[in-house]
Amino acid sequence: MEKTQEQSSPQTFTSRLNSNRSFRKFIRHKPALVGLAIIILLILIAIFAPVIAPFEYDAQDFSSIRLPPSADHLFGTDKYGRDVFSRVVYGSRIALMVASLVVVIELVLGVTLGMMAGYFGGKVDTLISGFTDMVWAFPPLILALGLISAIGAGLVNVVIAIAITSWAPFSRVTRAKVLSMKEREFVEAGIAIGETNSSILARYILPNIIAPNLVLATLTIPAAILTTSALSFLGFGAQPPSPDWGAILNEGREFLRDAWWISTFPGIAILLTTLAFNFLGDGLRDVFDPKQTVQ
Amino acid sequence: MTLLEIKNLHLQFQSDEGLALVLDGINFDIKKGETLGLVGESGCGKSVTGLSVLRLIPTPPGEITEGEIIFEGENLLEKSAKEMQNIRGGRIAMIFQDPMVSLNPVYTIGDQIAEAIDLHQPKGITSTWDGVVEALDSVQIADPESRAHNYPHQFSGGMRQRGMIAMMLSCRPSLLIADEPTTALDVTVQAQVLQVIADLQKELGMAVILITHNLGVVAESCDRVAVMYAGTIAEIADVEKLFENPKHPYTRGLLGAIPRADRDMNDLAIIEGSVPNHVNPPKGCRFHPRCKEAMDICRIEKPTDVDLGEDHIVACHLYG
Amino acid sequence: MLRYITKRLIFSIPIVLGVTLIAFLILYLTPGDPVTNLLGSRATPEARAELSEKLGLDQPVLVQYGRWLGNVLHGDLGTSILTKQPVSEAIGSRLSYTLKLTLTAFLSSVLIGIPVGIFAAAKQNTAADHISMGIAMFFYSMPDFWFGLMLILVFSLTLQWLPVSGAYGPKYLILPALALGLPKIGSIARLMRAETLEVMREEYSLTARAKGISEWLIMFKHVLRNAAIPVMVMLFLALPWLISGAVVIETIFAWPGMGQLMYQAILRKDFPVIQALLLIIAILTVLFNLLGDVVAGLLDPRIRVK
Repeated sequence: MEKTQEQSSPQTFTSRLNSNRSFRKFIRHKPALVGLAIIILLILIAIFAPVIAPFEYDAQDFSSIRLPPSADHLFGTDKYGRDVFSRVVYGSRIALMVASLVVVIELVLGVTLGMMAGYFGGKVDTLISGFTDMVWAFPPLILALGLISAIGAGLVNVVIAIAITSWAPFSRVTRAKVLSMKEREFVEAGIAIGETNSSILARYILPNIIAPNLVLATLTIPAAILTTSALSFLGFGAQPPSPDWGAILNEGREFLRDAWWISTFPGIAILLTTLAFNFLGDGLRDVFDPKQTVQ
Repeated sequence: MTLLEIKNLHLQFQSDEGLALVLDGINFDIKKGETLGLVGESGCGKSVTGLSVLRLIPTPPGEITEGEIIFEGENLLEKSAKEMQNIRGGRIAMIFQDPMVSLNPVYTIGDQIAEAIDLHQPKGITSTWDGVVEALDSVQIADPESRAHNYPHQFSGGMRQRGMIAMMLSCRPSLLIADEPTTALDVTVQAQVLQVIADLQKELGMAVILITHNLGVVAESCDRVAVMYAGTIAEIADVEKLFENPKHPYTRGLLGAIPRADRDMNDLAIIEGSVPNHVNPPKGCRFHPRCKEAMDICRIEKPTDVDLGEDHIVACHLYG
Repeated sequence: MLRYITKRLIFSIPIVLGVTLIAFLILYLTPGDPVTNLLGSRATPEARAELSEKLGLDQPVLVQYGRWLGNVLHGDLGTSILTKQPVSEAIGSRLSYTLKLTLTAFLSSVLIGIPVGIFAAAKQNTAADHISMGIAMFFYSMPDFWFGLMLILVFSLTLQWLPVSGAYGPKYLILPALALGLPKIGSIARLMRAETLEVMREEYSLTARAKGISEWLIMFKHVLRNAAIPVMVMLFLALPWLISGAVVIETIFAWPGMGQLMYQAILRKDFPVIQALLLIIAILTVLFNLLGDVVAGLLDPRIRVK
């Protein structure tokens, strides 16, 4: 009795110590905390957009067209007299939604393919890894543009186009992690006692690939936001009167000389959002195994 | 004649958990041409001691707060950065545990040896290249002329360590600090590397500090042994004396922990407990929580070095 | 080394084939029949019949792909629906503009990003490191299209130092090159810092120090020589991304390069042009990847010398 106690207690103690240490390390990572704070604020703004925004995002007012920033209109108004501040506030909903959607699709695609490549190995691995390398090498914006030229413009199409052109990092990270997991005793034991492939994958391997993928997901959100808003800026993404940040920027472009505020503020919103996720992702990567997510 | 003397050396590290007192006042010396073994469990501060001598402790987070390192009559802690560069590789050399990672992968072995020779210009070498070939020859690398053009990845593990030794000894230092030089090597290669070091030691008349956790290596290669525990030196003595008549309870425990063929496995003495952390070390003698002979004073007062005669020194209240 | 390059070349063939297949299939993913997509709706029946014949529309898709690839290999990239100009001509006249823009942007970001990264690594964990990495992160997170607009707002509209758009001389290159290049400084400096720190932690850096080499020489001879390997590879990999960024930047600054052409082609569904551009960018991507591998091989004896 005493012996088993002795054997089990150090293990639980170290693991508790480890998670504690990770947590403390994260707490000390000031940029990550700032990033997290901004993200939480952003989520709150998105949720309470109708409360925060003084106007509807599509409320036109032709008596107040292209007004500069003032107490009534913090970020000024656009060519239809719409309140830019309200539009930017509502735009946070689109940005967060689109970015998470893109990343979730990328996660599902990348993790599935990576798990298959790593677990089954052999020809399956060669095929999937080759495909992954191919997609990896190609700039997603170009591939997405090509796809959009075929399937047409629109926010949903942009999400699909970006997601299916930039899942490659997830596949690589997952494959590498699965390969290292396969060598571990508990997985080998599972195989030895005749568990099915899917049960081994789900029970032993999946839980262990969550952390690196989560870090990667955080670091991928900025790219997703930048690419979707770039496409919206070019006019291929969200269509008017959507308050998508990229779309607002696009609308303000022609008035840059007379109404700088229309394009300036949504850009700052994008910058702050990507900055926040990058800081958080950097912090998470420092806390978890840094090597695994670098490449 | 004393070559190196370390007096009351204190070293601390700023770590995630707080300030760690990694070396808590250590004293030892080494004479010309002598081999001193520095032994202890991992984390006891033996590698850090070696790095301190060459002032290779990254600062921050590490800092030597107190003490002296007297080498050939001069305190190394008072040397300028430039003077230290001349001493490193020139008068004191160091080799490391894993030869797979301690040579620069993008330069040839010959280039890396040549760099040391050009830097320190040792006497008695006609040209840099001759020095390179001679150095490789002295560590028994066959065909040194052409091997000098090889990159580290073209060498086997044992050859790399010998290449490393050739590089570090090409400038004929008077002291070599060898930090676990054989730990990462195959058993068959270990003896060869130790032999190469011993041969060169005789030839150059150089002293060696052999840092190791392997008591077998100590028994074979060393003249004297210093046993370290948790940033302190527990005991120093000639190698025969230490093995035959260990005084410090920790040394006794260590020696008891070597499996020996003539003893039953059940007799294997294991020192209970684990190495204390350096942030909140035990008060008094750092070994007392694991010591079977601990007395009240051990929990309160740090033991001082006791000279038992014939250079046998022990830091333990049992002998105070 | 030669074998290594050959191996890399062979590996890149499926990548080029894969991307060309995607470029080719775009036509078939698009609603409507390929002939209309390629010729536009106002084409004459004769032209339609001729193209059907040329594409071999009655044959299986893979055969059609083969034919298309064959045409491409013979330099026949088709005709622009919009301008009726051969696509190869349209692209040819714009290629030099894009190369001029991307290379200027690339060089300026490398020349700034690399030293900043090295500096930050050398001063690791000091205020100088934190500040330069904070700025790097700022650029890294910057939407380049917004940055381009802000540059126009400040330097063209407000200060009136530089022209708003067009390509009528060296002055016109400055703002688009800055808009494209500066945000990349962030990733280059971050990468350089990370790789430099990684090598500084390697034991051979400690060996160099134990040998008595000066800190300055350790950095430049031992550390940077090793850190350069992954950084060079990444830089070559990043070039195609710059070209993709050029789509947005060229559009903003009315810079007559391939990116602007791509934008216009997508707007107007000019499929032959889109296909050709995808193809060219795919080839450039593979080429730069290959170049990166070759440079890595040249820098790294573990690859070069077997």
